[in-house]
Amino acid sequence: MLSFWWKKVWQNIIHTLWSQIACFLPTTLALSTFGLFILIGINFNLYLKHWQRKIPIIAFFQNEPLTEKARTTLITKSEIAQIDYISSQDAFQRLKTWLKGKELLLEGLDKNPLLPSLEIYLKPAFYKLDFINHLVQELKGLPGVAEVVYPSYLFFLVTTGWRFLKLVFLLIGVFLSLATVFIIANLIRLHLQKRREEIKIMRLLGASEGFIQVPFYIEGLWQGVICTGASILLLKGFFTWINEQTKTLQIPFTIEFFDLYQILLFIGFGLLLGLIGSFLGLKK
Amino acid sequence: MDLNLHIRKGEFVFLIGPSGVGKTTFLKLIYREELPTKGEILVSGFNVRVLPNHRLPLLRRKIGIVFQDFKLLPYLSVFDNIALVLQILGYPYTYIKQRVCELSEQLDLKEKLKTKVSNLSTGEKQRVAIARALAHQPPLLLADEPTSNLDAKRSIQTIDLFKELNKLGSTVIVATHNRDLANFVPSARMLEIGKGKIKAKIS
Repeated sequence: MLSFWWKKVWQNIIHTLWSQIACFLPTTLALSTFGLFILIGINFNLYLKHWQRKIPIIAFFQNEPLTEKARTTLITKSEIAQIDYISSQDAFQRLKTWLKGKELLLEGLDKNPLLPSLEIYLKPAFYKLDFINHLVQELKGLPGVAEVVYPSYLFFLVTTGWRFLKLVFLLIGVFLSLATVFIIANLIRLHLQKRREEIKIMRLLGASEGFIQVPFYIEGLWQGVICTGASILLLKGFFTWINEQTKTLQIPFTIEFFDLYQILLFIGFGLLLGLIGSFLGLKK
Repeated sequence: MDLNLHIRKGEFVFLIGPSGVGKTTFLKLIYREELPTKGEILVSGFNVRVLPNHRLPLLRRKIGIVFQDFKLLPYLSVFDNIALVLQILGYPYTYIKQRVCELSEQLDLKEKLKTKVSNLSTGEKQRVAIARALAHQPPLLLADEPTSNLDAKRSIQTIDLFKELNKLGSTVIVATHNRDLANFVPSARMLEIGKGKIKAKIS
């Protein structure tokens, strides 16, 4: 039975080669665009995580013993990934490094004016505005705290901005998925129309609706897989090219491609779209 | 069409009449390609008129049909066309292959098994249609002008195949305008149709 269906699908494909090609191109394009947005999202997320590790919340203290005390209190918090203790001396040393060549600026200072501080780095899961605000308030309440500073606009970008971007990507993804389903459904409808007479004959011979529909479902799945596969190849080529260009131009920037698990997931998604397309095509 | 008719299981019946009197319509009513406006048609325990659509395949699987216009799939090979009905019924491939070969030998189609139906002559197409209708040895065989494109020798061969099926207990109904065909089946019942009515029952 299975061999019959495969044979039937193959015959259908050969019989409707032009419409298959006509469907293949826009579907591959839609899936490639969809894949591209996912990859942009994946890379953006990776870079955000990378930057997150470099954005601390800084709490300045009036003196060093109080800073040390606060450090022992904060280190127990599970939300915090790392706390760096910067003494007044370290801070002054940093300043000197930054002002290298302009040491004259520091000449008028008779003593180190910088305060000791704690640089607090959060675990990625806790980069949420609510939590950050809460932690800042908690830090301000610690004994000996002179000031708490943090780049709120960066935190906003990391948290709310990323959430907004994810929503935009999701909407684009939904739109492109619908477009794919629509194209496949129309292809199936077109083929149903083309094979109207054949279907009528099969019904007269006692074929059930399921028996008639199976090759169309296989065809939808096939379209889904082939188009997703082609999209992956297309994107892989494009990403390799970009990475080569950045290497040639000596830009310290590498973009990540899907790993095996994500590729399988993407193909699975293509299969699902094909199946939904077939279902909608056959429904009418 | 106004008919009141009972055909017993295992009977061989010829429906005889000129073109346009309703022979094809009568057959179409049996396998429900057309629905009667009133009355009842009972086939193998199925009440055809009220049979729900999802059960229609069950009725049709019990019937082998030789269509007047053959209703073959032109881009499939002879083998695939004959095998189609067996595939619908879910037979294993080994049996399908064996059965198709058997029928193709009986109907002189062995050399044409791989040929696309669209490349066959009308007579060959008719023989493929006959083979397909006989493939699953249906309990009921409906044949609409099954020998209209065959020469005398092949017409007799075809009727012999129908007789063989009939011997196995199947009911055979042949619609034809050719009275002489009935002479090859002495035991058959002949019904003459004229303008949608049974004009005469000739035994």
